[in-house]
Amino acid sequence: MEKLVALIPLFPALGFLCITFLGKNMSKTAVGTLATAMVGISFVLASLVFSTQLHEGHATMVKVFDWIHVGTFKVDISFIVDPLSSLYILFITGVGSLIHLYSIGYMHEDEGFNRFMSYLNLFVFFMLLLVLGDNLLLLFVGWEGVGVCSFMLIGFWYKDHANNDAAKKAFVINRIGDLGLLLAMTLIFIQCGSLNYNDLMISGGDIASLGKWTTLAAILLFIGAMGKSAQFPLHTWLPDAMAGPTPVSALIHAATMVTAGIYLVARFSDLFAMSEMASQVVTWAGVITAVMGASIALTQNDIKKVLAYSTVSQLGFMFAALGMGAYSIAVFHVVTHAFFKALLFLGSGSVIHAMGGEQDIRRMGGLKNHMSITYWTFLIGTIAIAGIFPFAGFFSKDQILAHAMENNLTVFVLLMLAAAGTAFYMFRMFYLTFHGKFRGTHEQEHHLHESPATMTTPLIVLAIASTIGGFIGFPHAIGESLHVHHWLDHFLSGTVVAAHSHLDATAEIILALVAMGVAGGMIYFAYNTYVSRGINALEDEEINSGLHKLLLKKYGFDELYDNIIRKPIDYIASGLHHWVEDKALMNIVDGSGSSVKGIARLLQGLQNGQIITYLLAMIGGLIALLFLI
Amino acid sequence: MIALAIFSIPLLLSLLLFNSRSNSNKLALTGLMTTLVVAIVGKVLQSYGHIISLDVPLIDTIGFHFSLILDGPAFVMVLLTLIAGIGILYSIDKEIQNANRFYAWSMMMIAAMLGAFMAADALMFYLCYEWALIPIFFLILKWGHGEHLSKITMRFFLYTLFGSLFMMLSLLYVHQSMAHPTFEMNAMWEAGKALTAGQQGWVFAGLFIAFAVKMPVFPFHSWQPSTYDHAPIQGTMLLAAIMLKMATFGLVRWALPMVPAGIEEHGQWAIYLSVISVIYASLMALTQKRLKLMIAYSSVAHVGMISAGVLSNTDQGTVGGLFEMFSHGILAVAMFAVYQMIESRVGHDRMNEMGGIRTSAPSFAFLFFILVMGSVALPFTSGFVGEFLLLQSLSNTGLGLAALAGLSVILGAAYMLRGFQKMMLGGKAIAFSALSSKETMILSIAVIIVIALGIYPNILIQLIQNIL
Repeated sequence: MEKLVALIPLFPALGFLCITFLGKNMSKTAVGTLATAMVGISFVLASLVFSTQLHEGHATMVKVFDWIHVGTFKVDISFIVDPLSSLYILFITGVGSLIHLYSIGYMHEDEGFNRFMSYLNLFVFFMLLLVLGDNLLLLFVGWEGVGVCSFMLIGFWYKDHANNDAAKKAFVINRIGDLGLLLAMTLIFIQCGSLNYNDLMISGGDIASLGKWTTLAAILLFIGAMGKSAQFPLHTWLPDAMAGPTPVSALIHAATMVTAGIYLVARFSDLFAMSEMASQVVTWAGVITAVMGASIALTQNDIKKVLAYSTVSQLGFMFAALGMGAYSIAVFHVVTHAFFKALLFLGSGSVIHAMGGEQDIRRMGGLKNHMSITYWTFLIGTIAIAGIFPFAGFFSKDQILAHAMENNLTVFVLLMLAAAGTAFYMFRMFYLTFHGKFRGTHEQEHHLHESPATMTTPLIVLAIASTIGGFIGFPHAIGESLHVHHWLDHFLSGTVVAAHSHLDATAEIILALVAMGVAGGMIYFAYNTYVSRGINALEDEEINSGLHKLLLKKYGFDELYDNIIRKPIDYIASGLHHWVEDKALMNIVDGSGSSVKGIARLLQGLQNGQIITYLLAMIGGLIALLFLI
Repeated sequence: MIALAIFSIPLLLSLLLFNSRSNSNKLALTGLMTTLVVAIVGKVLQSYGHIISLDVPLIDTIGFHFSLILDGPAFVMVLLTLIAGIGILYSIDKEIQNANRFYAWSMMMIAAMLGAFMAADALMFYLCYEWALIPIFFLILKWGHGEHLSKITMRFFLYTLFGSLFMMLSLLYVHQSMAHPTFEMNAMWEAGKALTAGQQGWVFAGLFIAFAVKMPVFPFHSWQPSTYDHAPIQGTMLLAAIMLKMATFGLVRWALPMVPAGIEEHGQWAIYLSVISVIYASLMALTQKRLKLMIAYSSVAHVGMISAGVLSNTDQGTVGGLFEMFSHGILAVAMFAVYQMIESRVGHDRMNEMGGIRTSAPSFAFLFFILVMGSVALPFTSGFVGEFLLLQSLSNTGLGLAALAGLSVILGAAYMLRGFQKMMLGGKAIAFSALSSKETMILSIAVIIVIALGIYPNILIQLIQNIL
């Protein structure tokens, strides 16, 4: 059964090739169906592979062919099937096929429809390579591949340079992370002699030979993760990436690609568990990102920007969990987050679709009467991310908080703050969008409608997943008293370093109640402000408070990086160009200018003369002579 | 004898073309394709045990042999020379004045470079290395353009000629250290290794300066941008795709096996210089406003990486270096062909003044984008395999050095994507006619090679490793 795994990335790749080369002669429906079906087939295969893993749960390698063999350096195109990768491929293809289906409706009017579907297929292919590769180098192939797809899809509407700038920013910032990952690879290979997970961790344990380099290797890997998963200080590209069409934001910039960093750290949990310092770095980057993202989201008025900062913040939660050693819980949050965040993005797409492209929640309001499926599913997504029992986000977030409480009280308080902020900004957005009076134009109001079935079906499926998805990771302590195992933790225990919470059932229940109480309070606060009192969010020019302005400007990171990185580099480069390249080097070379000219005249004279013919005759004669010998 | 045929078919054609008025393009292309077939057949025969190398003593008193071999590295470079050569001559899109002479010089240059790649005699390598300079000198002077053409051509000519003197001195130094002096390759290697580390260091310094000028490496590169700029485009392609590889190949063939201790103990400065060159050239590329110059500086950055990785003297460095030479050669032809396609349609190559070409020519944009990705070393392109192995090799010298050279990963993405965006994307769509079938063919074949070698690099790696 494991052999099937090689086919899983193949189908989306075929879809990409078919649409690219044969798409011109196909109808939009055919292209959309083909692209969705390819990911759908992969989903079926992934389910089969996953179900065998449920029974066996050990790692199997499936080699396809030799890739790069140079001396002792041997890396193959080879896949790993184990609990971690099979869980990832399951939700990638599952959420992926739903988003493909949704795109058929969402992108139907777009002239670049074929291009869009082919890029999505290509993305799924690379994402599957990323998680299925049995070595770091193949992971890197997927890693860079999804980066390029992300680049092409952020700048999908390439006629507007704002989109192209966002795409370029995403790619270049990601490359900073990629350099970290590249260096981590070279370091690991030099010290351990292999890049295969099997040699390094699963059966070999060679990762231990890193010795004094352990922390450095872990931090370099984490720099890679920071780029891809938009962690502070490399987080600035993700909100800009919302320039891409909304299904892209759902698939790439919420559910799958941005969680590759969590996959990387979880995959190397053996390494991170060995370095206390690296783990601390991971924790704090995560905590800072979680708090920062949540605080910025409080002030954003673009429906997609709120969700983008929310994603940044939620990814921060996951890294905080990783840093505290709760690897399986971070992966758990990846899965539940994939459900509810994909749902929220697709829901926002449905809203944007109905609003004729409007994304500012200050111009919305009262949409619940016009689009009930979107309204109800969006509500489920919002409750799930706010962390209300029994929706999916509750379980995963609660366990991250439980771990924080045990490990570090400061971390716990900060994460609790971020969680409270999450509940508030999500319901702020929700109420401003769906409740109250409509604040847009008459034309928009007239145009309001529920989206077609290709778009609402994925919403419904994802809403169901967001409702019950949390039960795969029932809290340990409560679970035991209720005789429900922490199924996911158990399932992943063969792959990632296991971490159990030592809180007893009472403490865990109290924590859950406190967390929900805080979230409930925040929801009430949002309701009171935006529904009962009917207050609209401030227009930009009405904002007086300094803190508010700072948040609205996203703490000014873009300006800061522009001033301390981009401008100095440009300055140095043009300085070198002027002083070294054009002045210094040229003067040295042409110092003896007159003599150069003299010889030039001499050699130019040769050109028309007989000397060349002599030269050629000589060489020809030499060759002829050689033949005779 | 097959090795001799590979060398002499282009040479004889060159002589023929000097005295012919026939359709030179077809003749030259047919000749190169025949040579390519001969080379491949020869390699197959060799694998069945046939002897295809050639060793003819020419001047016994100094041990000078006319000696050609076709081992792994030589074969890969021969393949590159012929494939790139075919692409270069095929890419000519307009009438050339004195076409037969133009082709004759090009074929002679190709012959000289083939000689340098197959040479198993140090003096023969040196002679071919120098000889290749004469045809390109006339190609640039006669078919180039621009105001200061003769000055620029002379600067290029004298600069590289001057650099090569140091190689001559180094080779002679090793040569005279022998009891029975000979320039034969293995004897030179042994004699070089027998020197003390200090002596080897000096020999290496001489070799490296010669190669550094040709590659080029900062600060010996100042002849390059203006030469690339004013040369006829086919001349630029010959320089970037093949000629500079004689220098990087020289590091692999002559420097590493002959003076390994000199490199390790006294030659680290060359690695530092190469890394500086990578960053410097990337920064220069960042400041360029013109496509042709951007490609030229990007080439300097790639070559610096080859130099740094190869000099770190590991299996990955040598193989990765040769792999990257091949990959870079193909990409250089393709990128300059892209330049030619844009320049001939738009009339200039100032990137800021273009935009929206993608709207008018989507398939061109698609092919160009893949080449850009190859050039920024994206995995599953040939550029990645070479650069990764080189970086891996460089890390053995120092992880910090690898990190510095690795900055080109970021800078390369920045300038390449910026250029692509300015020319190809945006709302302002300039008129741009669709590619001709010939142009599509050139770019498609390059793209196929770049991707095929990215996904299945082992085929080239195995060819390279025949002797390693």
